[in-house]
Amino acid sequence: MLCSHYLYQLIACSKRQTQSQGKKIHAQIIRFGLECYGPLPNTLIDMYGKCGLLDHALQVFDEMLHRDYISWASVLTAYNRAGLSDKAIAIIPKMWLLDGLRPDHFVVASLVKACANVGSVRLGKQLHARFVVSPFFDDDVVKSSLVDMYSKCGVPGDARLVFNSIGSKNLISWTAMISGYARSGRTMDAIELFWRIPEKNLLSWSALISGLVQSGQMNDAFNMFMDMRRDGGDQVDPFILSSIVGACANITTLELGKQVHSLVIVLGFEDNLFIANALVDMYAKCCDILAAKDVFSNMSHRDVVSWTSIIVGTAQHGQAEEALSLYEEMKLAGIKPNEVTFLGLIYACSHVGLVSEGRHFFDSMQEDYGIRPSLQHYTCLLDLLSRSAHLDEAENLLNTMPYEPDEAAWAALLSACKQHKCTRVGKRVADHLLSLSPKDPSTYILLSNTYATAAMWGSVSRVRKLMSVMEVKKEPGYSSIELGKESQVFYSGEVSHPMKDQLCNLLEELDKEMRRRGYVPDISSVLHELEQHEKERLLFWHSERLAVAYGLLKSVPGTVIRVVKNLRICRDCHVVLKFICSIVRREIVVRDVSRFHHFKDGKCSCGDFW
Amino acid sequence: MAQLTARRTLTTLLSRTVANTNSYLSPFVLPSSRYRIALAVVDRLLLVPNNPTIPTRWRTSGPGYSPLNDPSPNWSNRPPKETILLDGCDYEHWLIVMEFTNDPKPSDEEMINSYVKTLAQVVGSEEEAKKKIYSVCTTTYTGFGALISEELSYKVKGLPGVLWVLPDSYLDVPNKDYGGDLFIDGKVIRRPQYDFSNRQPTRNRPRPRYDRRRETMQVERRTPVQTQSWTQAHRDSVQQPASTEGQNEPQGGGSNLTN
Repeated sequence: MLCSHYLYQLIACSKRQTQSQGKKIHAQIIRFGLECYGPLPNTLIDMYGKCGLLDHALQVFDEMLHRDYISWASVLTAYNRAGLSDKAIAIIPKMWLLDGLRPDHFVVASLVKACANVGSVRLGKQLHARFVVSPFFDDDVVKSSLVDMYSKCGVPGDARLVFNSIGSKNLISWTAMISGYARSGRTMDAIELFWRIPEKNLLSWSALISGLVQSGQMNDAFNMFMDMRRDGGDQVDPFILSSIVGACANITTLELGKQVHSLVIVLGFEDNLFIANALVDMYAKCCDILAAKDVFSNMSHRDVVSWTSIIVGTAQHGQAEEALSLYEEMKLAGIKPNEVTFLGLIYACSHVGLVSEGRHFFDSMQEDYGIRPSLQHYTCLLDLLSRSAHLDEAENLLNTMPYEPDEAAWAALLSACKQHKCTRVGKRVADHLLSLSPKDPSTYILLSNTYATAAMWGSVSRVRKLMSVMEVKKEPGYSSIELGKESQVFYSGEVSHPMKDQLCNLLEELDKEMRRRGYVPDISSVLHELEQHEKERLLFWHSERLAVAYGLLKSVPGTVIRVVKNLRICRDCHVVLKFICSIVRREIVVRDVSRFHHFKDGKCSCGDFW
Repeated sequence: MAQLTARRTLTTLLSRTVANTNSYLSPFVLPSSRYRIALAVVDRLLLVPNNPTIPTRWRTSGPGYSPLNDPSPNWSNRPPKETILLDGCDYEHWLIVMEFTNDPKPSDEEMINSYVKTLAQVVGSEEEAKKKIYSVCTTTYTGFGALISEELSYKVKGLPGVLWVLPDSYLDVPNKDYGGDLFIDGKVIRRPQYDFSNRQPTRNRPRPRYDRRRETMQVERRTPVQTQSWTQAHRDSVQQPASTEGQNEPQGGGSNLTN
């Protein structure tokens, strides 16, 4: 009688995950000498596992006189929950060695789950094979966990085969299958299966939408999100909302991001940590750093991700001093930085040439926080040194760092040599870079220019020859601009836009005014063999200018114009936009492939070095 | 153009790692999914692996940020295909969120009065403002919905006490409703079904100290607030998608299978 009383209590503890209560009951059980009686030890293991006290669970397990299948299954579950799935797999041989037991369907299901957690499809397949020839080959629970495992390991085809064989599918198997399809980018399969679920719930929607976002199918994810909301009911979940916000950040749609933000507020999730973090990141990526700061300052609780997002955001927007002072705040708030925080900090330093601070962060990262610098950190440090003309040190870094520097790293150093007109280091670096057989056409241009500056004409012609042999495929440049309800994409050289004449007129007017103020087109960035005026004309039609012109014509007067470009903004456009922003007296923000440019009052936040 | 490759690498890496961090703390990630220690070859089934562990990698098993999974650099290389608008979003309906001090906290009437007075500053009169406001809320959030042009909405942004001006959309899509309490001719019609204030217990809204009109933001030192019990409870109670846990927990008294 006493036994069933404790049993009942332990099960209640498991459900509520009340650790201290569980321990008290265990103490009582020991006092009554019942710790090896009946199902109590197994239930104790189960309770400790669910309450996250793995060590206690293991201790009970070890002290048990007669372990059975349930004991093993409970202990495996405890390992899985504690994030030690590899250990769960490791102890299985002992099941036969110590207790003469072979895994039953519960154990196999837990093991398969462990495989899913560690991503080992190879072991999962072995388990599958054993399962198929076992007496419980038709067990739906194991099949369900197999579907989940194959899905998580990125083999939805195999998952589907198992899924089809499940006798009575429950929501969990449906969700696992859909998640598998969605995450592998098989959108149509995921959606088709989704609509066949007899009774959808929030988890199903969540699996589908987050899976689509993960595999980069943003538009599909948005459409499913809207379908979900049209379905009505209490279909709202902070996890889905934060996924969607993340998707907005990924394809840089500020307007949709704002719409989702509005929804977040009205639904009462404004203070949810994960959503707030997602919003900070989204606003920063979508060229609105002020809004990012607003969200950040309104958060009542912040974690390392919040701080890192705002630090990296301000760094990328060229507000280096602020990034550094935010870091001081972060430390005062008692939050430990992680590797991404340091990446942002070194990046910020490189922006304003704070060499010693940058070096300090690089060292502090290892010494104070035990974080090993990755290739990214080295690249940032390299950038810092190059930009501040510490070129010998930079070259030394490239030669001594524990990672193999790639073409981009050497090219970065070379361009810095060119910028600082240091031919001594430049020649060495150029030769080394050439020996790497670079793939990027812009690298060849850089090499050719470097050799030309050093009057090494032999090398110049060699590079040119290599270039002509290579198929120089330049990526088409495009710029997109969002104006409230509509967004437009402009391609460089686009001559078929319906508003072409108006855009052209505006640009020509601005051009006249610019030349009056001293503007001279910089044609060095034009690669083609053309006449001077033809080159100038080519520049005229660069996509970012078209986008800005469109913005000037159509946006609400006085507002910030935001343009997103897929390539690096060219030298001439950079100059032009500085002129334009002061002529029309409006702020223009351009996000290019590497940073944000805030054009205001004739200046750019990047300090003219990007 | 030369610096292009270098910059691209930096930013690619920067964005990817930010993505990693954000996802590693996603709400759905149970501790077990956070780190993936890749198992080296396991020769025989269920052998104790004497395998060297490969260094941990961040794994995006979670949500939202996935530039890591996207092979192209920091954002999609495809231009945005179509403009997506949420249902009910027409850029004429705007959600305006205001900030109030916490001591003393104003009453509902005072807040609504503030809403009217604020909007009046851009539409000309309180009469006009009352006509334009279609929803108010003093519980879930402190703000109102207004039917104004995009141009006017920008003017509202600069007014004192205004925190956000965002494009409004249907809260209740099937019923085409923007949510909140209805505001008709100055009268408030309560709609408790749209009250979600229980989702955020005891929110300590900080006092407004960021003036948007200033260039730089002063971030004040603040002591870390105790974790919102709500987020913690929510994280634990929501299951990981596609989890088979619920089925696999053996309860005391399950059947024993013999081989």
